[in-house]
Amino acid sequence: MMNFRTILYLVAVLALPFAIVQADSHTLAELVAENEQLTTLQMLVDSAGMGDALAGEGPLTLYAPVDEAFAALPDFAVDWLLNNPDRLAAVINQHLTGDMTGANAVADPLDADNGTLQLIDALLLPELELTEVIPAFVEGDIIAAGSSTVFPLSDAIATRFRDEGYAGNITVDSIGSGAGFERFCAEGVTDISNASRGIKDAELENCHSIGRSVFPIRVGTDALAVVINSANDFADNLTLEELARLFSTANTWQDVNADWPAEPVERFIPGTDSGTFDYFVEEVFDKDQAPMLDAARTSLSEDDNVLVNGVSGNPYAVGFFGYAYFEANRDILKAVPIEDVAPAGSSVDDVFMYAAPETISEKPQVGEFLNYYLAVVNEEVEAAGYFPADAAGLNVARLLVAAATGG
Amino acid sequence: MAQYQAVQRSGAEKAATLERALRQRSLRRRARPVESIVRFLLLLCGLVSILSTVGILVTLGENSLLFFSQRSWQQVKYDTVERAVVVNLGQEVSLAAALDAQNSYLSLELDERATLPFSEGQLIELGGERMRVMAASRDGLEVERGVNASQALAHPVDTPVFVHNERTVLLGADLRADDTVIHLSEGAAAAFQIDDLIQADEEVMRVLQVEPVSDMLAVRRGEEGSNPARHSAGLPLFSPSAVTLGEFLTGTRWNPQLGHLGIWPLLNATLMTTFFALLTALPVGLGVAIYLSEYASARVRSLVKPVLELLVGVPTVVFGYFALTWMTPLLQQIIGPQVKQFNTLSAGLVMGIMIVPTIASISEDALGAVPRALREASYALGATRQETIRRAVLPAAVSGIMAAFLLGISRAVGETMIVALAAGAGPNFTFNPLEGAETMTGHIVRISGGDISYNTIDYNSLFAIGLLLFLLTLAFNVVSGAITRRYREAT
Repeated sequence: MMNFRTILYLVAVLALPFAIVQADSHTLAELVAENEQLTTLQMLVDSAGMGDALAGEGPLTLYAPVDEAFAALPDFAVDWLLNNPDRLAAVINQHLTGDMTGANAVADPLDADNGTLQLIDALLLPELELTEVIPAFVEGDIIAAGSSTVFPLSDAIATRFRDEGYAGNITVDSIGSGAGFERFCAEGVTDISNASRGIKDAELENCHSIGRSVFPIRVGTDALAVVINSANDFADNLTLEELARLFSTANTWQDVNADWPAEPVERFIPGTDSGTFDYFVEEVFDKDQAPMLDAARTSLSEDDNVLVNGVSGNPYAVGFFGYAYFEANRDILKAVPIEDVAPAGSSVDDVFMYAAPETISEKPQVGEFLNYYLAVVNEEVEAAGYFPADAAGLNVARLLVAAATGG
Repeated sequence: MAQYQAVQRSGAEKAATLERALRQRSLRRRARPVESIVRFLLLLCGLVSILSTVGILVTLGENSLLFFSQRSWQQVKYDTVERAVVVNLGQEVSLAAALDAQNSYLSLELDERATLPFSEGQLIELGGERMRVMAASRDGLEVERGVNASQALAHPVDTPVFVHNERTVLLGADLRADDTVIHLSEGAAAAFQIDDLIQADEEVMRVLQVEPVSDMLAVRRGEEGSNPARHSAGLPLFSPSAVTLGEFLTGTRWNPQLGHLGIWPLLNATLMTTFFALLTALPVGLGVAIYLSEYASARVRSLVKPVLELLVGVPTVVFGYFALTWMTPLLQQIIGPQVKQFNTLSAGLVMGIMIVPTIASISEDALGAVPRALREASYALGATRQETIRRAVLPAAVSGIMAAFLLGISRAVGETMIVALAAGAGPNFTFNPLEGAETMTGHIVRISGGDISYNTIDYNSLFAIGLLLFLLTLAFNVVSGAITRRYREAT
């Protein structure tokens, strides 16, 4: 039987840690300075001279990106921020006044005397002003090459750039992400590399060895559509589990769902190096590509038209590819909702461009084109069949381009 | 006197030599710049073509060597014992009737829509006894009892059935960049030994210690110049294996991503399309040749030959679309829906149409080269026209026809656009011509045009395929060249 004294004792012991925190009075500034995960933030706060703001009157909420979050910012961008105190102040202010969209909490919030400290895993960036570019005043050539996925968008913007008066030569080649990185990183002959997947370590090393500190610019989002033949009237929804079976072990449709016909499944999937393939493997197969590649009657093609052709040619075929291609072939294909969610915007895959600050300082017209690109991208992106990149992604892109151009 | 004559003769000779030399010098002295430029250019053309061929061969060889000296990474597999489940009905499988120790038939009585979780040759387990599946149906299994050092026992009704499966080793928990202990999926640690290399994403690690009980490995991160990175749970792990010429030439699975590097699925598709191409092209081409050379009047020949040669000029991509949009639907109408949208039959047949003019024109030349005297001798012996063709002309021209045939083969083997468009995309080891299968050329086209990163094993594998293709067509060309020479000598 616990008596009153024991309970009191227990309460006292349990409250001790809180009491200690309460006893030491801490401002946000001190919490940041003491936290080992916030060294980069601390350096930036010091440099912007904003320590006082964090120690000042509350209640404040500081969303504090941990050191790992700054990995998204290359060194040249951090240097640029340190040299541009007003931009730096705007960035830090965003963490005091903004909300947490685009970031996740990595720990429980900590209480300070003048507010709350929330550790997060990504930077919160303001929508930085882009340098205004008048195409007619831009001189010199621009060479872009890479992914066929990004091509329609980049080509549309390049055309607009020319229409608005740019008199130089701009080429956009559609040669695939890998060949694009080869030209950009190994041969160093292009200024911009379009990519529908992230850069690989080996490619990054190539880039560093020719002195290019490459950075990504997110320009759009591609949704993924799981499509079936328009004559298929039984598959009106798939769970993730059924989807995994459909693209791996299932021999007939009945193996996926007992109510469906015992007709052999024929599969059409994008090539293994495409971002679309990577995304599907990650979401549906937990990063293990073996079940899908080992499946019988599976055709792979980097050419989405081949996939469209394949699925439209067999009532028991299934495939997946970028939403843009489904949109263009709506009359002969059907998209299957996954877990009752229709494809539009539900599943995503990034559309990137890569550039390097070194080429930009050598060829300022590249930086000007990138500024122009980001300014108009959201007006062109849907016509090219993609969805706009999320605001956080675009803000990172704006900051990187600003830093690379020194704007 | 004789001496004088000799001196005189030698004097005359000297004069003659001098005169000859002078004449030659003046001949030589006349500069002919155009002639020498043309000669130089022609030499240059020869050199360029030889050097570029050598260059291509060197690149192919170099990259193929890279391919064979590179390490390929294969997914690590391990054996698991799991409850047998009918996935599409979500039902666990148990014995439908008691099984005594002798009976080799195991009763299941599954729903007629059920997908069987068993396959032939699979190992299953019931109450401690292991059996091998010999035949599987929804009613029951034919099994070999008491295998893998287990005892045949009696099992009561409703005994749960377990199956042995091969599973990929996956990361069991998230791995931070500075962790040195990795957690694996249950039972997976047994697949590793100390000092093994493991690849996760692009990072390579070395195993320092194995803990089979807790399924953990102690590792050194960032081996071989790779960078330690964060990996999330569920990531498959790879172990190294060398690419061997033996595997390349005998393997029946092609999937460089998973470390399967057997050329046969691609080679087989190439051979199948080539087979169907020759099946069409040889009789039709030979027929056309015989008709043109033996039956057709000069007027007909002057009409038909140019048309045939026009076919040679049709770009192969047009033939490819022809296969995809005309031949395949036609085959689907004739044979039925089991003809897939992409299939080797359609590509092969259209490729045959493409090769007909080549075979026809070379065979016609061969037939035309048979001496008239041979035909006349045959007629004189009372042979009919058909007998003359069969017994005299064709045997005399056989080496020329063989050469045409071999040239047709090397064209079919190297043909790219038709198979890339119509034969299928994706390595598939099948002998069914109604299914799609990717040929060697089709594979090279598809992979090199995509997002593949350079200097990876997939990329280098393309050169090995290219080299093999080159050797194949070279062999056919050499053989056809030898036969043509023999036929020229014979006539």
